[in-house]
Amino acid sequence: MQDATTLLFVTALQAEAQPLIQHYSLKHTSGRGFRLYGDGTIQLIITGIGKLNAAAATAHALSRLNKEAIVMNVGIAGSDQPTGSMFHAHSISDGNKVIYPSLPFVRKIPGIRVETVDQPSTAYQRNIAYDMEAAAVVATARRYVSAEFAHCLKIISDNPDNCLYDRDGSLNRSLINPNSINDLVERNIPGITEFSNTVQHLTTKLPSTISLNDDHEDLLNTLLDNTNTLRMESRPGTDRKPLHVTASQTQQLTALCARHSVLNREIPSKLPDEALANTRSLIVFLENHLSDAYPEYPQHTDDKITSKDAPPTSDV
Amino acid sequence: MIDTVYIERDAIDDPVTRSILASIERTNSTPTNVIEIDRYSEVFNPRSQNFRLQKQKPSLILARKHQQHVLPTPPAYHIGGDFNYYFSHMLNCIYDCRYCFLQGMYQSANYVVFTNYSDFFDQIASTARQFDKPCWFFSGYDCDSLALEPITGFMQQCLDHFEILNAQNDNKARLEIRTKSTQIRSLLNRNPLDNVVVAYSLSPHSIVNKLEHKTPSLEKRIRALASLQEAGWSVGLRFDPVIAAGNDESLYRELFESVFSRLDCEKIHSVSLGTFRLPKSFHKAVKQLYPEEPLFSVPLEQFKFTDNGNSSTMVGYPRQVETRLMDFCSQEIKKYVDAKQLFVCSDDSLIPPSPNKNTSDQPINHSNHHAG
Repeated sequence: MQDATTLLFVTALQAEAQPLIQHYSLKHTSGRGFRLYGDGTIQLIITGIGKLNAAAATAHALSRLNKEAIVMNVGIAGSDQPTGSMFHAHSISDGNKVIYPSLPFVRKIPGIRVETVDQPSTAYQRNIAYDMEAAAVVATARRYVSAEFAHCLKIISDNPDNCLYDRDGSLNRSLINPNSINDLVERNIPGITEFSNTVQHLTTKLPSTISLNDDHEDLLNTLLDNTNTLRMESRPGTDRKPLHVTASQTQQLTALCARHSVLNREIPSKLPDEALANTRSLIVFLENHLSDAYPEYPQHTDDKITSKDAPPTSDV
Repeated sequence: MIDTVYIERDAIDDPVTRSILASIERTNSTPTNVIEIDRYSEVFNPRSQNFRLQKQKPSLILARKHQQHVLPTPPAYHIGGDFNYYFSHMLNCIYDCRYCFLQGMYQSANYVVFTNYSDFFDQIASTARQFDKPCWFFSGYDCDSLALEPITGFMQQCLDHFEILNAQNDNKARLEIRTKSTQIRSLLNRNPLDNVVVAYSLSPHSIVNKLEHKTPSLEKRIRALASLQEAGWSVGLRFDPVIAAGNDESLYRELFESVFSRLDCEKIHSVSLGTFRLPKSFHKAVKQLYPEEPLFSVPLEQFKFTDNGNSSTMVGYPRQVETRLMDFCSQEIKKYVDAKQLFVCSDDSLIPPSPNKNTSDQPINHSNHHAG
């Protein structure tokens, strides 16, 4: 299982962020350039409107993290769908370029195609939502995280019956204002949290690479300490120096420690003399120590035992 | 079972597409998410996808294949024929075998099904016509031949096609259906074809449990083989990949005994044998996906392979381990079948070429063993 993965919400507007800040009790954190909020493994950044802002803010937030993250763009969009309804972006286009978020889970929120545009749009084509940030957020996020962890949820703020603009061409302020946006997001908090939880659950399917790496680093440190102690003891009274380990050799030794761990083979605490001469000889010893480390698989004793078959593959 | 289906716009009106969608709708309790796309590569090929995560719940991509429907197999990949080709109507597999090269070859675990079946059949026929000797076509290279048959119906049509070819005296087309699936009803419901071999990939019971996730058990596969043989179908046995283990000789001795004792050995078409190996780049990718898997941490060696001037590096068991395993398994198998029925894939010359990255279609690269 992955170590606590950060859930990063990315919104364009303060009004879109506010219900999330309140729901997760996020606190404003210091930082330059963008407004950032956080509490432990939940983070939120407010990007400002448009693709350039969205890309810069997403990169800024993800660069600050040194662990895995789930990126969730939440915001309003125009569409032919009912106002207040929320959709998951199954595809996100920016001109001719289309991104398809990966969906290895059951999604309860309906899907929609999102087109990220440079200016607010009232095209309201069938089953398309128009926004101004999603493509930039998701494309940037996919430089940092895998496609399964970069998603976009859009809440419909305007449609042909509730148009973004008044007849005189001015913005319909009774429809689009901080309070109404706040209200749209707030009403969808249950859906947002449920979707986020579903994506977060995916991380349980991954090995804990961070703790694995820590374990292997611990093993390596123990190995080197032990080797250096044994080197000193093997020639008492001399000023035998600790092993010189290059960066490449560190990698090799870490990999060998990892293999010992995976194959359940303990590194002997009493290393033979030939392993102590230098780092190369230690590496050779550890490689040889694994030369017969093929795991045993239990012998089959009962013909009736069968592995579970994947439905619907079996008809015999 | 499949919640999301991506469909190429060019494939939307294919009868196969409509039939597959109808099959999925019948099995789904909730509405299927259908998403239109231009080319399957937009969904399938992007980097930064996690094969292991997608394997949790793969989506289906329905697409049309525009070129290279039939490709030559690696140089010495054969079961006795002089001319050997493979084809894949599908990319990826519903099973989750830890040793499978598909995990290292593709960015995505989503299934791709090519819906223009007739183009495959046309190219098979035209390829076979070039030769005056038997020409083998191997199915189940980038997928399992039968596992998704209830939804795709591909093999049923393919067998219809080979039945027609069989009726043409001058046609030398032969088909191998490689599988681990026990979805054989469609085979048992028709007369056997003497130009078709149904070949099962088999491993010891405990290796099936440990490494061949979501597959039918060994016992069920043996039962399927026996049923097919009883119905008159020619069957093949594929012990590939053979996995090195602390107790591998007893595991494989027991496997051979349990398989051959249930079949009419004289009627077995062919038996093939090969050890676990992967192209170096695939091994690296798979090890990153499954760092906790012992299969990738056991002693493995790199060795170079050159085919038609293309050099590539493979990762496999050290030579002495491979030789021991192949010698042992060969000797054991020869207790049950004639030596000429056995094909050993252990020589370096059997290793396939490196990926052809120039093609706009699917990448072409294979381990020495099929996915199926």
